[in-house]
Amino acid sequence: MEAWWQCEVPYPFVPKEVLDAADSVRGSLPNRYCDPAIAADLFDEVLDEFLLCDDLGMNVLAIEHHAGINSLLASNPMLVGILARQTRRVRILSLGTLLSLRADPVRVAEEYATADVISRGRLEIGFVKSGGTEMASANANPVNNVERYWEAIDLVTKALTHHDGPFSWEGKHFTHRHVNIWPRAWQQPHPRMWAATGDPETAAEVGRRGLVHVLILRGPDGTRRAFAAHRRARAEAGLPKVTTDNFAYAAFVYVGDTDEEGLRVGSKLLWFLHTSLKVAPQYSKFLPGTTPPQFAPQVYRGSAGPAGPNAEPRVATASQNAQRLTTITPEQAMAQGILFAGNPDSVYRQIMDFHDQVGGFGHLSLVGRSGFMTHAESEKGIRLFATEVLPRLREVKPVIAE
Amino acid sequence: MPAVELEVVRHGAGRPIVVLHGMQTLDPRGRFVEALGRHGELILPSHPGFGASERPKDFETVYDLVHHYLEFLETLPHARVTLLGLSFGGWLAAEVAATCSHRLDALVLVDAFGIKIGDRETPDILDVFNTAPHEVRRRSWHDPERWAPDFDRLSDEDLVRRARGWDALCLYGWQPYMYNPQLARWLRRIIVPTLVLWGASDGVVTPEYGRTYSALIPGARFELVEAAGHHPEIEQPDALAARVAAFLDRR
Repeated sequence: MEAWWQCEVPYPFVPKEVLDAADSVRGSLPNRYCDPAIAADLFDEVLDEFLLCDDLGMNVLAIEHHAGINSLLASNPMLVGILARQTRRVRILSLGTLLSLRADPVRVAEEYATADVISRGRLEIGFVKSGGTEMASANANPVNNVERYWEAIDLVTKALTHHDGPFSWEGKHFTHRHVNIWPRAWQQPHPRMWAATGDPETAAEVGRRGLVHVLILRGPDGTRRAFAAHRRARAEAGLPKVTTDNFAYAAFVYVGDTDEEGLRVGSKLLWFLHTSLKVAPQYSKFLPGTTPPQFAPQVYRGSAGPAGPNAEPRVATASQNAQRLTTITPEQAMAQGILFAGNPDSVYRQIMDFHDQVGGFGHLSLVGRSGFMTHAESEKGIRLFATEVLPRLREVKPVIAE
Repeated sequence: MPAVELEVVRHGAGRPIVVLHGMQTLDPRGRFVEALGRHGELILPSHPGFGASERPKDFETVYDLVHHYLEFLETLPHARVTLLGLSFGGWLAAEVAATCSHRLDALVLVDAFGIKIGDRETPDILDVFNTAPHEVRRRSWHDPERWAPDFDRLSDEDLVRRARGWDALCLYGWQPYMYNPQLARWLRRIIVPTLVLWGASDGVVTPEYGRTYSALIPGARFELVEAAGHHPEIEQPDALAARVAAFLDRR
């Protein structure tokens, strides 16, 4: 098993009364609450944490989110570019530029090819569907988002693998009549590709395409189901079985010297769930294309409550699922496979228990440094994980996934 | 290519009036349909993707809808019909009339979407997708307490219809948001008598927008409907039907 460390560079330094009063902490919170000097310090610290991972031989992962306290990484290619140059050893997973939000996937292919060359072939390319507030932030139609996503992936893949001069793309969502990117990617035919999804339909397509399939904070049941849909779709399409190297899981992870320290500091990661998921109903339950119409009675009813059209402004709102996560305790998060925390032995055991429950995976993504966790705490956790836990996880070799 | 399988309600008798619904389908048992039905034969199609009308694969633009309704008019036995469009359906009606006035004897637009008037930083039409539901509600109705739908009281069937229409509306109208940048230029091609009616309290598209819209259509008459927001057909069904009937009778 390999490990990939990530930090979303959240911005927790907005006054609590502002966050409590806002109906959404993503999408619509004014950026006057973001102090660029504090943001610069955060980037400095987090980039150093990425470089520490490089020193310790742990791979790194770069995400993208827009317009909220949950993440200042609105520009994935910018972080990937920095990591491509400043790290020297480890692999870099972009997970990812939010493709369906970008007007021209060819530009994305250019960015990825460039980062692959700068890093001399250490790039991996991940695709994320996006949704929620990011549809508003990017002016992106939420109803045919998934269709755009797949067409964009096809176009990026072709742009990376075509080496014979300009080709033409006149698809449903993207038109680019003269595609010919320079530089071409270092890795041939193209860097390994990943996709993050939990829903069975997309999971099946991820399986048929043979992408590395990553589940994020899904817990054992959802993860097992998604991996099973992936394998089943391959079997039904007559494709060969894949190994556990095709599966990945992302969770909050923190390692301390003791269980007490690991849990105490690791609990700070739950700020992400408790505070940064608060989203107004127009970006969640009422966002078109989000829930099939037949479920409308469950979605629309009860909306006279705080989330609904009859609601008073500036009352806390969240979709049901987010609501569940916003109140989760550290103990519940650990029981649900969302948080792995404790001393090195405990964390190793928690990861392996989860691994065995879901049928195995070859990659663990560590959602690190969130909320008010300090730079020193984050670096300590990275060191302990990379030196005490990761060598043991590396003993877990890929096997055929059944 | 086969025609779209369409849900069409018919009501009343007399001069044919095709009604293109707004952001949601019209209630066929509602007061407006009953009141206007006394003045003509109402033909009420649900747009593809709304109500029980199918939406063929890749049918997802206003261009598709406009050609769909041009074809729809040609399939009717009447040489000419009156076309009435509400809100989003008003946009479709204006597009159809600018293209095909010879199939119409009159046009009625009610709180219609479809054109861009304000400067690039001033939206004309409330963004119903990106605005808090309570704000959309406040700006949609003259008297929201009385008229705004209470989802807790709607049937399962009505809620599913509503959600299906919401998705379709987003597909058609997301970008550019509820207007065709070219339409304002071509409204001068509408050569049938036109009445533009507007809820005086409409906060989704203001009466000022309606006046400008009306001024772009040769000879169009603009009238306000008092004590109505964006949905005069719900808040003032009798008054709206009476205005339409009076206009049609005058001609």
